[in-house]
Amino acid sequence: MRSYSLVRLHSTKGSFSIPPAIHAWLSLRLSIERREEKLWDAIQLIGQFVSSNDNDLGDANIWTSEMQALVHIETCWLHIQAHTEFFSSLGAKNNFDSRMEALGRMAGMFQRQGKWRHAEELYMKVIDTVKAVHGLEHPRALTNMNNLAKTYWSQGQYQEAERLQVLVMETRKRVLGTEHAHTLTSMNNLASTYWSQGRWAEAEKLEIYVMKTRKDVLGEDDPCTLTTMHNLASTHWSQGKLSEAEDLEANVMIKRKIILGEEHPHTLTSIHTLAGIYADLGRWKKAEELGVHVVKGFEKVLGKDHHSTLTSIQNLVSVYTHLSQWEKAEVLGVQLIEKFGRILGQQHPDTLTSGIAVAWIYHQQGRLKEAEDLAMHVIPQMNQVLGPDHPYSVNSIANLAYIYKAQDRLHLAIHTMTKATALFSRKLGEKHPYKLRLVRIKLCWNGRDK
Amino acid sequence: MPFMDYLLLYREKLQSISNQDLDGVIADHHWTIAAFDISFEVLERQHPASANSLEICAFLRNENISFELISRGSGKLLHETNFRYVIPIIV
Repeated sequence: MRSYSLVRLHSTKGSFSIPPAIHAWLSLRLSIERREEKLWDAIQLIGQFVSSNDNDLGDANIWTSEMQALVHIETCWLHIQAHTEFFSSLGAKNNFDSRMEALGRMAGMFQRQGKWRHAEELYMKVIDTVKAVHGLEHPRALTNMNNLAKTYWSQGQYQEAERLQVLVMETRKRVLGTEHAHTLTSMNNLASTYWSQGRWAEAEKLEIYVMKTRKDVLGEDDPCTLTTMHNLASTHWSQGKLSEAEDLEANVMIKRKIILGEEHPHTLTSIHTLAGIYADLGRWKKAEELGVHVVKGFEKVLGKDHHSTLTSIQNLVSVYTHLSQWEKAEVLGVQLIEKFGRILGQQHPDTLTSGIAVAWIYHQQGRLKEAEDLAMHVIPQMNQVLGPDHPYSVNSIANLAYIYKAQDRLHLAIHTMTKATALFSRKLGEKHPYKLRLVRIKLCWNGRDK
Repeated sequence: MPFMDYLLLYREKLQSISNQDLDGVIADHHWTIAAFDISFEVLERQHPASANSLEICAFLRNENISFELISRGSGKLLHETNFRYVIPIIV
């Protein structure tokens, strides 16, 4: 009998499978009402699973189990989409709030796992449904709007993110007051969007307000205060105020070491930012030393395949690139393409940006054909996954222009750079510092062309 | 259940399922579905919680459903042995 088992156990993997015909029948045998009820049970199960992960996302095992659960959550999402009346009939149902919470958590997991379009659609559905029942000012509507803004931000849709974040911030100011923790969080998020748009003075102004208020309300050593100080240090860094950035981040690092411990991911993140600041200050040896320390720290605490570990390696690649240590940068960069591809998929933005980083390293080594081939392999995928005007895609096109320039294909280089600057203007406005830099480079090339 | 009673029930189930307009992956598996349906009804009566877990799984991918997802998601400790207990009944 066991050989005809209708549920197959995979003891070594701690999982089981249901043959397709039985699986399909399990839902078809239910009445429409019962089917909807069981679908809700599945959503609640996912919500509870995701919520049980929330406190331990720094744990490598939790991260892996969340990635393994993703296919099931995507399947559940397909079922939700297939039920056309699903959201419109919700107002009259029981457990409305817990159901909305479960859906919000599901969207949050899509966001974390880089499934931004799923996250965006689901957040929009939740927001519309909560708004229809409780109104726009309900905390759950605002929280989900905030999260939707984060999803837009991840996709490089900064204007959409800004529009929502301003709305959330103004509503919270009015409803909760200017010093409430949630209002300050929304200011912080808006500052991140300003920062990404190169509007550093606006980001700085908001971050200074949040930092001062948090210092007054929560105290100098509160983790939230330290997060704002860290963000402000990054803004100073972007503004080229390197010594202010260094002082602030070093202060954050010391406090985090004392409060959170030497190996806490936030402490390591501070050390990583300091490494970047040191690189820009020309203190390259120190930058490398800290960069290596951060990678080892993340490997020890979170494991070699954890996303934060791989991000820290990405940053070390960038330090080696600064240092012109191309061989070290190449070895790590190629490892990253393999690991990101294996863990997150070949078309995940992290895999693609690693590809562009390696193309840049090939370019710097004079391996121009390899650089061009890799860039030409990655760019169409970026256009498809992120859209042609996402900052990553535009940056990749600008890199390709540099490669053409190095190959002495000047007309093609200028044409490609023109395309990059036009795309940048569309997304980030005419005055973004990076866009202006590309325009200057193009003018310089044009000058030589004449 | 006596074998002859089971056979009778099986024929009724098979007839009922065959009358339905089913397509896709289950179209060619009426005999399996009929046997499963009888077992599942027994499971629903004797172990409603296990039957409920399986019904929830209908809205997840059919392969590699981890015990961790079900147990942490349901807030209950679910171990492989629970499913081993369920299987002979389903079969």
